[in-house]
Amino acid sequence: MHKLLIANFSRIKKNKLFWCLCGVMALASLVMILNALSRPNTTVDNAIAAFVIPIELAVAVFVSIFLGTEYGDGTIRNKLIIGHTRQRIYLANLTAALTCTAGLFASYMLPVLLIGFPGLGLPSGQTVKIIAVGFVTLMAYCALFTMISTIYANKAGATAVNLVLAFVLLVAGIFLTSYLLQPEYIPAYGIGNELEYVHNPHYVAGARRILLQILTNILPGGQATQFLMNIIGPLWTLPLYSAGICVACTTVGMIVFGKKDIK
Amino acid sequence: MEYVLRTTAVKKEYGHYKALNGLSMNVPKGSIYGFVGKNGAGKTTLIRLVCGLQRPTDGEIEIYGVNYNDKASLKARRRMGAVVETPSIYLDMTAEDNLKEQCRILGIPSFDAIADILQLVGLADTGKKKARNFSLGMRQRLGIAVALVGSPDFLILDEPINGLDPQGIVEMRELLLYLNKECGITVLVSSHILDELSKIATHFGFIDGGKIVKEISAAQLENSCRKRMEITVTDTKILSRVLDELHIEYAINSDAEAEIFGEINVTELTLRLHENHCDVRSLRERNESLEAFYINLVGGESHA
Repeated sequence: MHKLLIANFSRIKKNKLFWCLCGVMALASLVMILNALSRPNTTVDNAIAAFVIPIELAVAVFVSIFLGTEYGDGTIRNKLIIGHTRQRIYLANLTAALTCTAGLFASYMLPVLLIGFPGLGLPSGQTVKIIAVGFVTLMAYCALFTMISTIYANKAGATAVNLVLAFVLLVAGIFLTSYLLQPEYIPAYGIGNELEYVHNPHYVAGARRILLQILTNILPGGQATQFLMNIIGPLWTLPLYSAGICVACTTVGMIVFGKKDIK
Repeated sequence: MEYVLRTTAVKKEYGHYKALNGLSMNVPKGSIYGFVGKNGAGKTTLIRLVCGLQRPTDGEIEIYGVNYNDKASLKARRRMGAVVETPSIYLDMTAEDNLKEQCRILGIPSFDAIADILQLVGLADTGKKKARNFSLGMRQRLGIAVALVGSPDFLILDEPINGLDPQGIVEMRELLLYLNKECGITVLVSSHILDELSKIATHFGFIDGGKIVKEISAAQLENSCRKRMEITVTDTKILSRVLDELHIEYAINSDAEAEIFGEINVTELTLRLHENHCDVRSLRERNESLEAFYINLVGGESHA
């Protein structure tokens, strides 16, 4: 597999899109920091909180185009013709995609380290944990996009599907997190001066709450939204769910790619 | 005879559609195997199966005597190069970078051979020009160059001269002949341009309806296609004696009909037959081309 990895990394090294997206990530991070610096009483935590969202979108674009080129230009055939197995090709592509995701993550974090920490102070312990967990969430996104880009042989189609999926997961995450963050009791304003609390009809309880919480934790979009809005469950469970997504997507991707007729 | 590629009763189905229906073919080592068939006959499907891009529904494929399902076939594939339909090249890379990438995929640490390969296919002067700016002929040649990285013994080319201009076709022909004769590479080439194929192929495989309908060597084909006269006489015994005296090759088909091969002096023959009291009732010249041979073989509904 090392031959395929060397070939992939050589392509990445010369890939203008990758370096361009790294620049965009650094710029996005810089904008967040400068915005935080311009406001009083803002910590570096506020500047970091949304980091998964721009990186996930960049990963969706890059993985779709990088892997889609193999189908678009037909070069995946060169690998198969000379006897590389489909499993090795898939794993080499996944490894390259994960490495690029780490690169995009590093590009986002660089301005945070160089400008954010000196200007806004060090992050809280919880934010450091969220950054670590968020990194694993990005890996889950990457595994998902790799699976789709490898199964769906159309470069433009795979890019569209991945981008739409990234947005759908995000919207689903926002919807689910908002639903779960509903308070159990809400204030009821009556005629009198006394503030009364009544049960919130939108509050989800019991088994339904547990199911929704698990779904929110499993979905990478749900995790990303939780980093931004509020962590609903124990933080340590999120990397486990992300690891599960990575394994599930890679298994499905390898099985489908293994049986796929390539033209 | 040693074979580079052998397929036995290969079938490939896409849903209910049978693209290959028990195809058996044999590609001898050192040959240029012309793979001939009309659109949809199954040429590209077979090439895809041989290249490992798709799996057969049924049947056996052997590359260098190693079965398709055997793990050793992956090593045997290392000795193959192929251009299937369109050239497999990175369009955003230069010709040289494309070959370097293929070297990396093959695990070849040195790029020393790249200059020679580019020279061989006539792309040595392309410099920093990206492959997306290449003409169709240049892309086709770059595809072959990529396939040649790693010094394969077996080259598969699917319609390599499609869309090439006359100059490009001549260059492609010379390249294939050079690779076969000077480098000892066995070439499997599919093409619709039968006349061009007849100039280079040493063996032919005719495919129709997902099956090989005829496998024939170029020498055998030449015999089948060579110039001949169909003659009808009153007595083929007399004709036979006269032709023997004239040292002319022939074949007797019945008491009255025969075929005479090669160039003959018709006047001399008819006079000699007349002297021997044998009348000539009819005489027709036949000069069958590869195209005619092919059309006769597949039933005359060719798109080739």
